[in-house]
Amino acid sequence: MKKLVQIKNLKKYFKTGRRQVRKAVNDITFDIYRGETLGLVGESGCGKTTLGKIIVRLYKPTSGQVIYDGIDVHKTGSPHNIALNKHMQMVFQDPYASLNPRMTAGEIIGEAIDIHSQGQKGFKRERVIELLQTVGLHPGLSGRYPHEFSGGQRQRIAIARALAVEPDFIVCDEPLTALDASIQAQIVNLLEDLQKQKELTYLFISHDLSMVRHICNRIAVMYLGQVVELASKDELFEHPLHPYTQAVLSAIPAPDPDLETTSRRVILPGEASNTFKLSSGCGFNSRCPKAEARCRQTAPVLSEKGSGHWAACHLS
Amino acid sequence: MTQLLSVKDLKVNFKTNLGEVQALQGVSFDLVMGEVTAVVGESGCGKSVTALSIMKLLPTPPGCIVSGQVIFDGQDLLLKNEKEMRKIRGGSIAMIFQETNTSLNPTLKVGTQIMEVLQNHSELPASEKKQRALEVISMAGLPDPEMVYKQYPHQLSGGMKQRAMIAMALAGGPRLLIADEPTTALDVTIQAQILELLQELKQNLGTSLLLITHDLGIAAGIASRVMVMYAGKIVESGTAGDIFHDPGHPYTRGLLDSIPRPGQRQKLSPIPGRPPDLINPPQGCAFWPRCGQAMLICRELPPQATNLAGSHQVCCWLTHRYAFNNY
Repeated sequence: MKKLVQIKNLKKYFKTGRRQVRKAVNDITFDIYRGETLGLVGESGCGKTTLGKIIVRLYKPTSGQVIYDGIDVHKTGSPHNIALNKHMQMVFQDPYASLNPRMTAGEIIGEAIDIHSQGQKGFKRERVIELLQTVGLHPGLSGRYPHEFSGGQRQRIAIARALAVEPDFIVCDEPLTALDASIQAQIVNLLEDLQKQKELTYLFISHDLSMVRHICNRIAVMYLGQVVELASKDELFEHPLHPYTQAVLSAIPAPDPDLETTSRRVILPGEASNTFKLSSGCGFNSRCPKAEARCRQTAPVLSEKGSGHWAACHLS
Repeated sequence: MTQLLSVKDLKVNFKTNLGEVQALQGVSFDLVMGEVTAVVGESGCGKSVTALSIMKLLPTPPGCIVSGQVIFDGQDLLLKNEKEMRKIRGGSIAMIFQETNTSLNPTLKVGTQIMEVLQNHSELPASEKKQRALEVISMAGLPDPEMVYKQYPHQLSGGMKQRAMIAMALAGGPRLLIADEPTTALDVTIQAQILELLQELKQNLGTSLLLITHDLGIAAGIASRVMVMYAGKIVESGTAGDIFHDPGHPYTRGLLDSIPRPGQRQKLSPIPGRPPDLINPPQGCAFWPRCGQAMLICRELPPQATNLAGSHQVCCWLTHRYAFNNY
């Protein structure tokens, strides 16, 4: 498979006080292949969204590279700058906050076309109608404002806006979180259909592991700014190597009372410490049920433990 | 099987500029002592309004309890005045909320907030109250109670704040604990901790729990009885086994089909459309516009609850005993 996005030693530190630095993304390296859906899961504050925003260039990294189809996207003065936005788009978590309340659906979608298609007037109208239909909205709704739509419909508009420039790669940042279960399924099916039609590549950021399992080919698990495990979906769910992944998988509530009572949950003590003061050693050692002396001394590196199965743990 | 609380034909409206929203349209159920009952449904279906009406915490106006009864201890809570309700809230019925940041007072130490509950609801002599406060803090699974007692909410993490709120709820020694989406704002590993804690409390203290959630997985994991709400009505209720293994209402089946299941890789089948507008709810069954099995009668007359096996109740014309095609 061909690599579409390569992330190399990416770091993003936020200065939060005079002597405080928050290491939101702390040395991450992995690849995204063309045509796949890569899931990115982890607790809130682990750096998932920051990573997604760096990839689509909403943030500049502190160091490291994002290489999209051979182009270093953060290199200053690159002639590809605007052109790159045509290839990479993002759909955000909160459809109530990511659409301008003073623009109609048609204007929101049309704006993206305006920027990238260099003024072909009649074309725009048709294109907006086509996009609305693609995402399952009636073209007659293009004159309405975001507040006139439901959450699911708004997320469809956000998807239409992302599709307007015909991207190859979309970062979906928790696109389902704000939606109800029955509506989530509608959006998931839409994303899957679009991927087939348009050969899209997704980075699907989520904290809902059952949904990630449903939609993704490979899954990366993040903890405190680092990728701690990366594997194909089935491999990850059947043979999780990292103790954090194991605990998280066991904590997914299953919609079946029999499964729930028979399966033993691994209850982790404590909570993720914040990313301000990282102790030496593995970031997970204070909560890890299997931690040993070496876990407190040296930090494990992400390394390939089996074919395509990467984990950052001394014990696996 | 002693009844703890019984809600009868509760109807609640909200006045808005666009008209009256019929948030609850005749909700009836019983809670059994020592049981965990989950209320599931999508946002806006009336789960939280039900809980708030039991506690008489509905903002009035715009809310208005049109009719119904909430019987607790043989008395109708809806007839009680504010002063009497204050004795019950935080005492025999306590509630925990989703948003810890807005439900804890940011200007008071955790200890002070717990002491407030004890001052209002506990007969203990003043000297023992602090001891009791420390006790509930450690019951809620917080490490180092003395320390937490002196901390402000912002000094605690999300999971710890939820535990602090549970400690406050426990301080009054409630017989019924209402938990409104207690884990929605939390990460999955922290969620597992809080659910474990709630289960322990139920076992050790015998507290009944009314758990409001949109997550079917959580309901399956913790509840022995489950009620499914749709558009201001309970459309199905039964044991967790009834609901998850043998769902009777097309809406319940639709919900279960729209969430991914472990080990199954088929396309999700979402429920088409979206929940109805409760200002002008559809005539007949509120679900018919989205229902794949709707019949002519569904559009005209609202279905009555039918009893299937045991305590399994379904509010659907398909389960009517004269229905042509039994579900």
